[in-house]
Amino acid sequence: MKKILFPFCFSVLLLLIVIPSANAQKFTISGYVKDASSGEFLIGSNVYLKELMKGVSTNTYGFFSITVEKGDYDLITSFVGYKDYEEKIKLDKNIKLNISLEPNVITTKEVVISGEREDKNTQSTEVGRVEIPIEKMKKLPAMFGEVDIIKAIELTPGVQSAGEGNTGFYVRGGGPDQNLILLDEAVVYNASHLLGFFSVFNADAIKNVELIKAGMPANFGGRLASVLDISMKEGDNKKFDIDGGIGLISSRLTIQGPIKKNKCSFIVSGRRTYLDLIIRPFLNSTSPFKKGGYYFYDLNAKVNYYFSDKDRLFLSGYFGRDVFSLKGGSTFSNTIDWGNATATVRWNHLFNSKLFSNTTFIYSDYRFNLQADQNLYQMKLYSGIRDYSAKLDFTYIPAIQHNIKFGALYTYHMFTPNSASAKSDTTVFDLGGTVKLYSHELALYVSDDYDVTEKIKISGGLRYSMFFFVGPYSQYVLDNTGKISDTVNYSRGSLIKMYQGLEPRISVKFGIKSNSSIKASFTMNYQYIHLVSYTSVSLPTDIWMPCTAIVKPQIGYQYSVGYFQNFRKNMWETSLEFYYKDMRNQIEFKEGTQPQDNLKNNTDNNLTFGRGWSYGGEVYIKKRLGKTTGWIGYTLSWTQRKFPDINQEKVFFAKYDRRHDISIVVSQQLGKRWSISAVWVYATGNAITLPLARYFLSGNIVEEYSARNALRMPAYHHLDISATLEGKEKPGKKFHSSWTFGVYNVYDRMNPYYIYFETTGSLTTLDLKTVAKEISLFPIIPSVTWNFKF
Amino acid sequence: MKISNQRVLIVVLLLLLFSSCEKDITFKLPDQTVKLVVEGWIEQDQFPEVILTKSSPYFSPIDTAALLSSIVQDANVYISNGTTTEKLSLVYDSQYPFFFYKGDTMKGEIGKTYNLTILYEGNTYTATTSIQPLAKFDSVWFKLNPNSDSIGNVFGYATDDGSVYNYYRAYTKILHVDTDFVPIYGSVWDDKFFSGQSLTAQLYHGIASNIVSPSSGNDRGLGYKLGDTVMVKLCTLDYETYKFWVAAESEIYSTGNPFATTTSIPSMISGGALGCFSGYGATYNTLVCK
Repeated sequence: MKKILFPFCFSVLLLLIVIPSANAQKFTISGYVKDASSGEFLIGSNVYLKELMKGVSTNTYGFFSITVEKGDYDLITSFVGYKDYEEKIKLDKNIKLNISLEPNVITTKEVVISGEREDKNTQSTEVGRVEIPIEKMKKLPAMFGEVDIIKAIELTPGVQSAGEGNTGFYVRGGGPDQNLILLDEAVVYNASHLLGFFSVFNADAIKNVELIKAGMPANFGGRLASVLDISMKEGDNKKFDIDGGIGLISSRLTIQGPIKKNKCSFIVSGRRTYLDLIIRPFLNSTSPFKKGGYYFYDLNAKVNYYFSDKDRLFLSGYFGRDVFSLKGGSTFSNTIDWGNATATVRWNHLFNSKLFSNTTFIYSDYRFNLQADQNLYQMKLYSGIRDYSAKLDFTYIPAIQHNIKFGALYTYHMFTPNSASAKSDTTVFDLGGTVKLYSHELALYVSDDYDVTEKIKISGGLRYSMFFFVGPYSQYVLDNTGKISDTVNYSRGSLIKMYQGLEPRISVKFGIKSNSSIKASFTMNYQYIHLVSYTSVSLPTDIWMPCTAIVKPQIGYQYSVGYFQNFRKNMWETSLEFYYKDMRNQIEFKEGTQPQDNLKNNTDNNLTFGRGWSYGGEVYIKKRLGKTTGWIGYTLSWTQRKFPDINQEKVFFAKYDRRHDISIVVSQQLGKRWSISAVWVYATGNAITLPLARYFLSGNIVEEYSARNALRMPAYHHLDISATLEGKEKPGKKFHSSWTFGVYNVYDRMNPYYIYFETTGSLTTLDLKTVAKEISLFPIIPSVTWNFKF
Repeated sequence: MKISNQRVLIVVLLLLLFSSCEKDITFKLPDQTVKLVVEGWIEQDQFPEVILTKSSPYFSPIDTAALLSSIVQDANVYISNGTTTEKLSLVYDSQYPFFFYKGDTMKGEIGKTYNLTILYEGNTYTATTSIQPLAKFDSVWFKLNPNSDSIGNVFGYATDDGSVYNYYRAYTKILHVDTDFVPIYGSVWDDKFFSGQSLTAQLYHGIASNIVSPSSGNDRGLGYKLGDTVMVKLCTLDYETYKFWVAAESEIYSTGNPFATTTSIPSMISGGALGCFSGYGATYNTLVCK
């Protein structure tokens, strides 16, 4: 470990010592940027000096710092949907500047969004970044009118949905477990309700969403494919607001306001579906859904306290559950519930105008419960993850050319991959009790965004991560018939296995002209947890597994290069990116593993290991400005895997391998009150395994399957449209409402959810027939939602 | 009851909550080689029997001609107990596949190992199995479902031998209803979770075939009717036989379930054939449902 720690510490020191020494007669302008009407801090707004044509962006807490030579400057601050702020500054001492931006009144006037830094696309080192403003997402068509952050993100190139009825999203060939989903810095392990139809993020409570799919900065880690960084709103600290919406299947309500004006504010936001209550009267009394049903709800809450410009405290939390139950008389009942809970405490502290710090404590919990009773039998199943984390992040901005970040993260994980109990009458089955896996994860990082010259920018970073798998733990050693031949017991806290690795990250931007650039990045990532699934469909029953003595960390290498160019004074943004990704230590269940094989056993005894890789290209053409906006995204990619023990060691396509993926999004402002949007998506069908031959066994038809994922589902595509009508703005009235009308799957495309085969007839009469059947979930679905605010 | 049931429940949830749509589609599948399918078994005090058929491409027609051509009648089938080898002879049966191979000299014995050899079209296929010591239900009984006055379930009480690994398979046969013993729902299990314990097992009436027959009226569900006479068969298996039938049963019941694993049943036969050679140590109980 020393060998790795030394160069790591050395490079931190080097950055801290060498860079600021180039400093002579320089002063710092620092402060926060916030929304003038609500007091919300604005993430990623641009603060730049006209004379130097240079600027910085505010961080997650709205903080910025610019250190330049003494002089007179024209400082401009801008942000999407806000009026620009301009101030003349005489810089002859350090200046503290808190800037409030006035929102553009977007509801009644024609909007020309000018806030975003015009050439951010071509001028930053960022590759593979996706940002969609929340207000924009709210206008996109959505199934049942439920605004969905993840579905909107999936419309951008390189990000794929797995289709209807699948949890998770796939970024550049990575699995759903390879996305780091953060809600106010807390990891959300399963970000979907109802098996992927709706995301757990209630758009009303969300301030900012950013997806990083390449060039992951060193302050993020622990996942191979992407970071989806979601920040909750802080709450209006000037006045009370109530927002809400009534939709077809759910309603939502958000209340926010000051507890102490300009000092302390809160936001509480809730949502619940009521599909179960609506359909219940229509069910006959014998339906198992009569007494059961399905619903989900979530609750977001946040409080922040502003002590001074130097210190701020944030408390935020999320709680969501899906509950599903079936009851059939007195003989049969079934309850399944699952969901996430997170809590975050953050303390921002400003040491001086150049050094910003954030200390975070995080709790994150995901659980899945099942209870089934049937006559004599009773079964309970539980799986879950609980994390306690502490994080320390520093941002040090010694000069305008540098933005240095360093910090540390520690997490204590408790995994319960599968714990079951069952009894039949009075016999209690010995299913091995609860198997818990305990581990510590630690990471240190340092990074710098460095403007080397006018044309060249480098963003480099180094992350060092460690993982300790510790007791108490019982390792079952199995004989060749799958029976336990020995048990090795580890005591509480004793180290069973340790893994570690250095993760270098680098992104380079080379400017060609002011409106065009070439960017390249390399990232290496370690991921110490895995998600394993028995089947071709990803469900909440999938198992999260940490590294153990048998399971090694996933290691990812990604190479990405792109050309970026803007046209017509940045009205059009275009990019062309290519990537290659290598993923080591991928896991799958051994062929033929049944769920019950994990009971009274260690799950890792049933796993097998291999390699995956993905490569492809992405085209993105976006019209940012004007009455008509939108984008076209196209991805061409290949994702394959190779496992010594699967598919006879032959290469096979990952189930989420997607040759073509197209998204077209168009939004049109029609006059003052109406706006319409349309979305069309097309994707190559998922790779599937299907039977190729059949034979008879004891009078049953059984199947011999194709090589793994050797066949394809039909292509997936649908067109969705929506229209938003803003209510009339009445002077002096705070109340505002709007209607959103939508049609999902306009041309009623029957997208296959799954395909199955059915053989009918009789062997006695020697008359049999096999047909292939396709099940699709969503036909054309109209929706209407009424939103209000006062 | 299997843990994989939760997946089925989730499918039910999806299908019921949303207006899901089902339609027939045509699908072109690549060709697959036709393979020999072996289903052989030997039970204590019984002559061994072996059924030979051939697999067929998935969408090939399954009319009378195709079914008849899938029957293998010209193979040489031998069974050996290590000291004696017997050639089985072709016997006619009234139902598909109409012919099977049966011995008439050597009966199965508890504790012995048997080797199967098949010579067919120039190829040799082999398999091995054994007959394990017997296990028996101490008692079997019927109990009406709480909300029914005619349908109920059959239960069996047995004690596992804790000193050895045990693998079981159970069947029931409703006299005058079932033509043969039908494996119960979840018929194959090992003693991993109740080694050395006594156990009350619910013996669900399984399906005789996963082929959906339009005429088969079933008013019993997974249960039995008041007045039924039910024979219960409990077999002990060796590990290889157990492993085969766990996979086969999962396949038989999962047809059409997209959440099941799509892995071919591993074959017990070496030489490139599909299928099994099972050794059964069987005991029987009979009860009248009252």
